Amino acid sequence: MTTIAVRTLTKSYGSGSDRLTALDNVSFEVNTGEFLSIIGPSGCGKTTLLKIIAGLLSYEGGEVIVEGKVLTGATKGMAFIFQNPALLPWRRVLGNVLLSTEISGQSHDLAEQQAREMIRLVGLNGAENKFPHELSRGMQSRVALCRAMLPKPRLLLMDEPFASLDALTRERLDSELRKIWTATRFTAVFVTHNIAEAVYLSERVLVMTKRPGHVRDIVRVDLNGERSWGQLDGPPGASYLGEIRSALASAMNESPN
Amino acid sequence: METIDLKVERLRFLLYQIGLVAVIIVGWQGYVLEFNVPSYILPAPTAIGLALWTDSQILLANMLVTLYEVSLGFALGASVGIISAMALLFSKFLRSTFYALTVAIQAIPKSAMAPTIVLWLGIGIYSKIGMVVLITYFPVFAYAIVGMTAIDPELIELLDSMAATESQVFVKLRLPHSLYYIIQGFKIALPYSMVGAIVAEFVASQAGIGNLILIASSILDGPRVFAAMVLVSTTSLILYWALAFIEAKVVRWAPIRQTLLAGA
Repeated sequence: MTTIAVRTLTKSYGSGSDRLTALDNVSFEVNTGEFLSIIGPSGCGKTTLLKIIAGLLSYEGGEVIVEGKVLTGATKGMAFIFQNPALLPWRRVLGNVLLSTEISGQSHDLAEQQAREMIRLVGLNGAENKFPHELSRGMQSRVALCRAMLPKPRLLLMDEPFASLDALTRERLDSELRKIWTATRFTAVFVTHNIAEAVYLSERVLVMTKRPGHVRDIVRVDLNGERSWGQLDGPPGASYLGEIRSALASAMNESPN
Repeated sequence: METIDLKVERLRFLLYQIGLVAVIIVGWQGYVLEFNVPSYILPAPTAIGLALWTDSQILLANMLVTLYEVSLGFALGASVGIISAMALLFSKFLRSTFYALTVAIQAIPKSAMAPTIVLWLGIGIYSKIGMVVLITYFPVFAYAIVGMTAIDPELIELLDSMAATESQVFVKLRLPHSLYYIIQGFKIALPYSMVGAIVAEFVASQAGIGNLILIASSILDGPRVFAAMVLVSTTSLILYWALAFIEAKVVRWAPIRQTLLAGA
């Protein structure tokens, strides 16, 4: 079943001589329960695309259908993880995690119980009462992850959520994300710059062209079963890395249409 | 944790400050004695100290009256300020008409308005409270508006992505965010409120520290006037410290820290 259908999507900013076409004729689909990564050169419109899918941005041409509907704003059952953890500075960790369920109106006591469990799962046990400014960037990203997951979203959209973290923390969080996804099977669209991360997490990787962005390639990653980072060192993992790398390199070198 | 060196350093500066004050007081005392300065022009520190001691009851009683005027006026002015900020947030009509008008009225110096306010509200306590309301209103209103609107757009986007309603955005984001700014508004309004109440008392009053200063000054009781000034100054300082204490407890997450972290 298709959860997201993007058809000949076009998005531009500005007008007249300042007109900037961010996305040009983008078409692809995301199946229910699938993990799709989007990778592409800087400025190719990945974030714009993700926000349009989330209903946070408007568009001029084509259509975007999420769960059978055309979106006019964000919907419940969907979670968006931004590049910046964007925690509320006046709330402690627990309060920040509970923000999502407060807004969606879920029962507080049950949510709190689940929130504590989630905080423990990502390794932040003991930090429930800390303020964001007392946490490292990696810890803040983990809190943002918990916050997004707590209402048990059906659709998770992530915009380079671990981009500003060091390699080891990033691998760890990717593993945690993969674990949660394997258990709950939400539909995920994950924007990243990191090829290895895209291969590790996804079933398909969508490679975009330079601006104005459109779909250049979709690479299937057939690594069934439990995945490990070591898998990417040899075949077939490494061949997927190579395939995506060359697609990306071509995308960066191609002149814009 | 402060090291011993830092503590010694701080103690040293404290001693310097105490030393400076001591030197000023001794110098002052010497000057008054040496040049036989009349006490209604510049009383000697010893005379002021004596007045503080002997007149303590009347000084405190009047100070309390002024404090009462300031507290009531401040609470009222701040409340109206915050509520009108909320009203402007939700009404485009009010935004386009009300704000400019408020700024225009604010441009009038309150001291110039004092006699008019006394005429309107009488020589009793209401005119003083009225002055304080007028003084407190604008800073709190202006800071509240800033606090409710000048929010990191990513936070607003975050709540939008959760499909939050306008009122949810207000209660969970705008209101807590504005708390820091509102307190800054308080810190600005407080000293001026004190001045405003006293100025209104100068115009016409039956009680209050301003009233006491006026009467003591008219009978040339220099030591009592200065004693009153010392009391006002001390009271203002205590109020300011109390506000700073509340600020530290309530807004530990101060925006400046947040901005620094966002860049990390």
